[in-house]
Amino acid sequence: MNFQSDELSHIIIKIGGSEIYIHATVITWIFICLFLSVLFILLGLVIRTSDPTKPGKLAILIEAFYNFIHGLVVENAGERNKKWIPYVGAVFLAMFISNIIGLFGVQTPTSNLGLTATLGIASFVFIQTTGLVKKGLGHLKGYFEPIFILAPINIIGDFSLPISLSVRLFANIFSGFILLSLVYAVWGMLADIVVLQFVINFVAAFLHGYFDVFVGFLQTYVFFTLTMYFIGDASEIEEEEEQSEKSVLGTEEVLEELI
Amino acid sequence: MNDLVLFLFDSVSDEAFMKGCAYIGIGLAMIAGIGAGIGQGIAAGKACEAIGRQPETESKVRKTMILGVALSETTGLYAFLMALLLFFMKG
Repeated sequence: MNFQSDELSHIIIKIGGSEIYIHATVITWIFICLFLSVLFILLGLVIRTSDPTKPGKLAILIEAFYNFIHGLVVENAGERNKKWIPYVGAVFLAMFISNIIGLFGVQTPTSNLGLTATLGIASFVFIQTTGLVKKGLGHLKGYFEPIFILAPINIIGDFSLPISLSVRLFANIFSGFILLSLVYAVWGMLADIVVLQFVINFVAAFLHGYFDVFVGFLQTYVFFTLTMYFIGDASEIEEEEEQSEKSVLGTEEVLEELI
Repeated sequence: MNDLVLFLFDSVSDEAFMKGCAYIGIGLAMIAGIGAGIGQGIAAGKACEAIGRQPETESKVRKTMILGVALSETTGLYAFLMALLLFFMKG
């Protein structure tokens, strides 16, 4: 079975004697990035020129998106990681658009393990760098806790994170892509029976809604929830202990007053 | 009897034998779907219990449940990925 025609799956550029092979995923991804760059610049202009006392509909929509990303970052990683909101917002939107671009008949870029592995490794580097910057050598010491024999397990646990992140996204999107390809293959086989084709149109529309929009959004959300959760974990500096000490003191004072 | 077995093994080419084994492997790999189904069912059931106990927390519980369901779905999808790899590489 062949799900992608070879003419559309890649472009070959010939320069001199050498050939450069560009996969369709790369081209789709570059177009998504260009589109988002232009979109973000235009939306930034809208926000800057809008009147804060009387925001327009578009400004309210942008604010809602910002609040959503703000909630995602602050709930999982804490107030101290607020500076990552631009990164999360940009990659969230890029990933979401590349998940739902299957609606336009383009092969979904995230159904290619190369792209999802890139995003997973980016998250991994992001988490480890945050840990090293915030805790210094204490981050490396964390591998030898509670006892040093557990170090290999801790290290494997950390290195399995990019694999599970990227394969989760890839498998979800790819399974939807394969199922829809099967539905379209059945559609093609039923060329003589127009009534059944008509029914299959609705089935395909429903499946697009589920696999492209719902699963695409959910997996993007899961990806960034996990990333921000681990960022929060890596950048944790004994703030909570101080807080708990304070609260303990508070209860003691209350007790003294009561007595 | 011995001759019959020898005849059967000789008449199956290596390629066809490989294909048959790959299809059996696909079937075995998809057994993992049971685990994902049970996990999702437990997550949804516990969410129902939580909502029944504290109806005012419904939106929070639903959010957590969807996240948990999406995470537990992953094991089933790993199996599906393995099945697809077997199908395309060996089938």
